[in-house]
Amino acid sequence: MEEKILVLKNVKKRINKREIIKGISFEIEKGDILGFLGPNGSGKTTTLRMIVGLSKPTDGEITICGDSITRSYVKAMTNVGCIIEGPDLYNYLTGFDNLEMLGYMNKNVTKKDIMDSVELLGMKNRIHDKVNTYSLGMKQRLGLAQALLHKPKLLVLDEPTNGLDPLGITEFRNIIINLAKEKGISILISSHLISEVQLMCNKVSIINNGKVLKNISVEELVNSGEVVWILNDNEKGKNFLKKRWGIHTKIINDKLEGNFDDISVIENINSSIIREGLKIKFVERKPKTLEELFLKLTEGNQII
Amino acid sequence: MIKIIYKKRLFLIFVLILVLISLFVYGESYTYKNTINRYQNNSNNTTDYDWKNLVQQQIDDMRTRLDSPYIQENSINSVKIKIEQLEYYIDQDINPITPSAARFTVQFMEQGVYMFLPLLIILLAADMVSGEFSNKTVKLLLSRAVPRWKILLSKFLVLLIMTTIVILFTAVISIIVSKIVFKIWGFNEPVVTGFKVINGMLDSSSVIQVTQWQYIILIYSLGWYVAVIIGSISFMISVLVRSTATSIGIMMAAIICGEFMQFFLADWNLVKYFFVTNLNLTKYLTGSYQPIEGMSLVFSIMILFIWAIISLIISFGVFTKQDVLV
Repeated sequence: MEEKILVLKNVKKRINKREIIKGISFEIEKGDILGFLGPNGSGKTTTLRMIVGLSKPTDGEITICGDSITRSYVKAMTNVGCIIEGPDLYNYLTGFDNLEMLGYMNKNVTKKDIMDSVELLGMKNRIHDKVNTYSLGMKQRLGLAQALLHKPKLLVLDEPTNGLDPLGITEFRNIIINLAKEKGISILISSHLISEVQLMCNKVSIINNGKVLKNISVEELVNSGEVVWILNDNEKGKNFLKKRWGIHTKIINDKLEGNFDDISVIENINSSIIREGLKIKFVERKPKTLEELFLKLTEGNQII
Repeated sequence: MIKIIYKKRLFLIFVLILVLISLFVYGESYTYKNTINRYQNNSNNTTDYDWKNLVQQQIDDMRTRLDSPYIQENSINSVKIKIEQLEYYIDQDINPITPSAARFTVQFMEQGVYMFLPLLIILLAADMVSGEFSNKTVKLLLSRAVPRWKILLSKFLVLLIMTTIVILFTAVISIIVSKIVFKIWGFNEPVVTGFKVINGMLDSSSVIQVTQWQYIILIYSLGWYVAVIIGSISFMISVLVRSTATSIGIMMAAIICGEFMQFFLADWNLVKYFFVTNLNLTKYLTGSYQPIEGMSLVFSIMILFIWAIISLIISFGVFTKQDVLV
């Protein structure tokens, strides 16, 4: 059995009599990257705040590495690093001073640890500059460095790529994936950008209106039974597929799109198409994007 | 942990120190000139500077004021007491006028303790917690593996340290600057304290003579006490309102309102339980001071203490419970 890093059990949060989180449950195992997906105002940030101890759940239980955050707060928090809503650091200090200062607040953070995390994020050259001279990308990295100082087992990132340019996002994504792979850190990322989650995460939790709509792995999500062909004669191909395999297909523009249950027979289908004398210019499994799924799930979403 | 928060406040302290110095220099040169002018005007004698004449002159002035029909009822007593004090000085051959470094240092704190000092402390303390909220860094602190009360406690300790620094600095700067200008140390001069007012009469039986050195330490300890109390109260405001500007505003308003209340609502008994009314601790030492019936040094110290304790309880209670939504 794999180690459970983070467990949320029926967590609720009420602010001013309005229930903002209506019972959220999910789990993160070691090395997982969980995407926490939901539209604005769905309760992502509120949930993350509860996980990192900034606010307290009104009901339910959050456990980090087996320690409940309500009962053994300090022990639970030693295993968490986070960036909540943008990297806000002390602007008038240098990057290094920021890290050093925050390092004091954890036991056993040495200078070497600080330099290690600085090096890991590739910001050695600028670390002794003041933070207010940093670009947003640099700040984001410094925020990550800060979150990684005490070698947490869980990293909580709230919309980490907000405001980064495409290059910055790619860089950031690589860093995250490396962290999970090489250090075995579990990562919880909230986002409203589906493409981002799809590229980084191996699991997704979709929430809306304070409820989890679906806990699912990315592969499951993406694996759909849709295939797209481009043949030299789509019309002929369509008839052939219907006769030989019983597959209904549609011609959309120059593409032939089909939907079937067992995707593993695709090789046989392709060779039979070739034997029939048709030529395959292109064939692809049509990726079902999170986008579509998300829209389907959050259909009729209204802010009550 | 304490070091941490210390570091960033240093900038603020530097600014404050600059403000202090400039104010000191201006203030002391002004008083110095005034003293000389007054003396020259009163005695028409620029060469021989005899303090006894000057004091006598002051006594005569006050007597004339007492005879005037326009004098207010309630100030008669305090003027009488002043006169008696001055007479006591002449009898005991103690010079209350000639400026010296020691005397200036004392006077500065006596004047500053109910207005200037609180304002400085407010500037320091109001930012302590709300500053973290306004630049959102509070979430960095609170998401660490440190219980919240520890974070707040370290902040409070930093405040105490800084208060101490400010007080020490005030003392050192005023000693140095006034020494440069007045050229007299005067630390071993005697000071009389412990005058008591009994039935409107000055009672000098309990008067003790101390040297200026001891007196300075006494006055500055009182100043420190006041500063710590003000610090605790602004600390609470700082926790409650989460915006530096608002918390400074609230505290300033409280202090200024308190001063007004002291003058206009002196009959209203509740006013004496307001912390601002009790700030002027050092003035009790001169003996002639009783802003509102029933107030004394011990009373004021107790009231301030209670205010501070309550503020701290509220601060810690709120800070450890609240949700951080920045």
